[in-house]
Amino acid sequence: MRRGNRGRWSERQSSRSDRIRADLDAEIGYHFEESVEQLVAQGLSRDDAVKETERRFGDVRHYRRKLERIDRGRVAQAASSGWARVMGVAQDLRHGARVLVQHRSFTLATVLSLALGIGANTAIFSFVNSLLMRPFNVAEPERLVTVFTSRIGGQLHGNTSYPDYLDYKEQNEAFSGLVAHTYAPMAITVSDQPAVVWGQLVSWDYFSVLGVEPRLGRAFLPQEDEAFGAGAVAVLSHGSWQDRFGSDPEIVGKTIRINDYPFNVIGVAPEGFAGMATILEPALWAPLAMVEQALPFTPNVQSRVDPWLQLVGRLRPGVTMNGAQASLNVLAANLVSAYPDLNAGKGIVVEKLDGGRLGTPEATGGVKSLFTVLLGVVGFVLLVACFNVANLQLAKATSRRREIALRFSLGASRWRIVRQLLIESLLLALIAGGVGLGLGILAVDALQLLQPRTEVPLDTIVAIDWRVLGFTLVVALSTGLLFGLAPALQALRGNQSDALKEQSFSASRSTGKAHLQNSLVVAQVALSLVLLTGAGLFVRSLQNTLAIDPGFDLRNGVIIPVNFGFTQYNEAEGTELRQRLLERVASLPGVESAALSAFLPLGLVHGHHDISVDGYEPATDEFMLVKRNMVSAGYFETMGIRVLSGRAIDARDREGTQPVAVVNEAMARRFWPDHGPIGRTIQADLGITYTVVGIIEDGKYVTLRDTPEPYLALPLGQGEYVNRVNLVVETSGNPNSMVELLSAEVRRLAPNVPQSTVLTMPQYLQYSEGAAKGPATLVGAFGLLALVLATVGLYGVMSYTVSQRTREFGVRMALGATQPGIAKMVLSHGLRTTLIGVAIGTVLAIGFAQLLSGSLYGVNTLDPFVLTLVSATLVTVGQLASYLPARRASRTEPVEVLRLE
Amino acid sequence: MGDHKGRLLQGTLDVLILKSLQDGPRHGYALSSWIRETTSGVLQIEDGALYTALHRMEKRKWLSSKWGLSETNRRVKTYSLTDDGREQLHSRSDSWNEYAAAVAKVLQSS
Repeated sequence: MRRGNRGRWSERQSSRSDRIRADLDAEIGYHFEESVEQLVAQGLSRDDAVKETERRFGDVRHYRRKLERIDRGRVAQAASSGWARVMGVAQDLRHGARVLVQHRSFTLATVLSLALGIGANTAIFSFVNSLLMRPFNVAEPERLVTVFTSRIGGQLHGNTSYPDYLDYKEQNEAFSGLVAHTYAPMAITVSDQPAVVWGQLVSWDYFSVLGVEPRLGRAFLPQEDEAFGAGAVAVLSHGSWQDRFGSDPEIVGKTIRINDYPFNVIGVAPEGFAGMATILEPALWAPLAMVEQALPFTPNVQSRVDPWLQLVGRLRPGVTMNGAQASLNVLAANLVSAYPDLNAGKGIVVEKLDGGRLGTPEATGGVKSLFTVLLGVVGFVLLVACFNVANLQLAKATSRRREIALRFSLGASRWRIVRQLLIESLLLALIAGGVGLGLGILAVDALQLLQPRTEVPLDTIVAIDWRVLGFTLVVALSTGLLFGLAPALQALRGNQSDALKEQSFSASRSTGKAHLQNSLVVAQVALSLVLLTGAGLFVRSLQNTLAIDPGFDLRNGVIIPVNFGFTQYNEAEGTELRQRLLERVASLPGVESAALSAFLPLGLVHGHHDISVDGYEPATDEFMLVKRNMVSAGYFETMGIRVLSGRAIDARDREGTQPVAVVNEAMARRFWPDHGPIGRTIQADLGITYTVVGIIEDGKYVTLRDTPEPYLALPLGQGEYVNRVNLVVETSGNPNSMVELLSAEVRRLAPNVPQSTVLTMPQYLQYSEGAAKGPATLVGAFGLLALVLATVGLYGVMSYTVSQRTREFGVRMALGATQPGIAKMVLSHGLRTTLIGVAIGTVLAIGFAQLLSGSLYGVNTLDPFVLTLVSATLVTVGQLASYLPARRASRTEPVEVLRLE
Repeated sequence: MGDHKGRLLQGTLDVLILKSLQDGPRHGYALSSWIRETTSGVLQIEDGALYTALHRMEKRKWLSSKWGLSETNRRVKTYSLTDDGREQLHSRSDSWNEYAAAVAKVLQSS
């Protein structure tokens, strides 16, 4: 009624007054007529009857005005009865807000506790949402599967070589379409300054098979993917179209440079489509046939043993995943018989689309189980926070009980009181949710800073989208309901008149409540113990991981990735430039030594090669792919890799001299177990025969937790041209101070090469250590958070108990109890509570540790050190939390207590 | 004059009206006649005060009203008791009985 515009409102108002007046006229008119008729019937004259009626009625004008006023009030009341309900809620909200402001410290404590819990949940859920839940935005994703090539003795979910892909595509009966793609860093030049971005090379039918319609222009045509180098065309992602091209509506037909090669823009992908991996958002797509121009490394597209493609298939109607797997098994067997040398041991594996989110089902599963653990951890943190709030609510219950009883006696309905209490706690929960969301966003930003730096930023976008907002809202509201409803119902159940009369807490009720409060603290201690145990185990696992010898030692190192693939330099230019770079950098002051290497241990990319070893007869299915690196002279020395026997690769090993190789211990053991490798020969590149001249120590190549595997190093320049190298520099001081100088030097010498991120060795190692550091940091932080919350909870309950027992302490002291005696009593109460929590927590922690075992390295899940340390911490903290209340209790003055009476 | 008396008798008048409506709905004039008859004219209540009481109790939802047509085809407003009104009647008649008894005691002693 108040929402109408003014004109309508006053119109309605005046018609309402007319109506009231007409009704009064009718009512009073009828009264006068009846009265006059009756009096006339009793024998009065009409004039006298009228006069008598007027006399009996009283001052008509006075009463009319009075009646009109009453009626206007009544009508307004009736008209607003629907609105009144809304107004009632608004009133409750106002009242609730007043209550929250009145109990300021209670509100602050509650909001802070809940906000920390909710913030932690929001942060972790944001990652889960972005990494594991982001929709692919393709047509009928349930019909799409990822397809891998497996290899006996190798990966179950490996990449696929180009010739194998073509065979799978042409010969399969399971798919209506099978697309191939690969991710790679690319240098994209819009105006002058090239930027290094992630791009994706795809088979021409990528967009049509996935069912993605370009927003502008078109997708690729078959002829653009037919002949290598023929289709220099690109589709831009929606994001890069917006950010780099200012949403240019005329973009289609324009030319951009990718790796300094001109590409024609033919389309823009729709918003929300970001390829098939959730950690990389490609800026553009180009046809597979542009592999030479667009990829900074060039895979051997003719080779069946060079796997570099990831595949996605769309199941034909009526074909199940099992059906597809069965028919692909036949296809794989056919290929083995067609190419017995190259395809022996290979299989084709079909997996759900979701498994390929983070590359392989193994990687996706690993991240999933880690985040399941983390979600459980933050859930526990929220639970600890909720117990704090429940305790606060219970402590506040006395004053609330009286207030509620008073409202009852003033005629408020049960529903009204429940509504009032619910509105209060929902208000609290929403405030906490808002603060929690803010904390969560800050935490996400902080966590993203922890993300390892890589030479091309991974740019994992952790978005706060509607799913995160919805999650936070649901978490906030359900905690609010949980801890608002319980006290509300409790308030209703009690005898209201008793509560009103009650002046102080009766002993029996106090005991019951204290019991509940103690139980909540026990639960908090138990949950904190579980979380701290988890944190302790992760820290142990991290210690073990960091204690692993990676097989190299370059603490003061700086790594400068130099990628000639971002340019169209030819082999001679590239070889000349990298040699010049190496010599120049090595001569800089502050540089101890420098070297070039195609790959680095614990990096993102690794080289491998299918070798043959003279004098070694491989078994039928034996997998002859070994890790392979190409290095310059001085590499082992710079990296601190020990040469165990023979010699390192040095200045002698150039183009034109006798090809040599250095192998690691694992390789030596595998192929030359009897007489050692030195002097033996292998074919490890383009059919060139290399003579083994040295053995180096085993190292970790992909992750720190690897078991030793065969590894082989060849001299740069003696084999196939490598256009992407790392300049590894050992500095004599602090590597951080050298980064700027080195970057500037490289920019000066190679101004046309887009620069990747220069990393110090500690920064570089973050990537490989992150897998161990991340969970240890997070679970550790959440464990500490839970500990703080539990400490606050314990302190609150101990203080409250002491304040309730002041009288008892006073009496005891009057009867001869000493101050230390009273303090001891309180402390032992705290100790008892803590110990029960520790006992329960230990049982839970042992169960929780089993869930973690997959994410831990070299840790006994029943690690007695961790369990002892965590229990001792909790007991100590528990005693500290009880100390102040105990001191307060021991200072009770017996006289004061008597005065209180 | 009327105001002073009206305030004094407010509770009494309300109870009288509620009581008279216990037997069924009535319109204002019928109520006025009934009160005049049952109190034998002892209580001098202005009909205006009666209507004021009716409208106030309607606003408080002790009474509900209905518009009908008389035999002479005129619009007539009749009042009836609501549940709230019935409740009021019980509590009010108790306190009125006490009041009446007190008044009687004072009169006897003089």
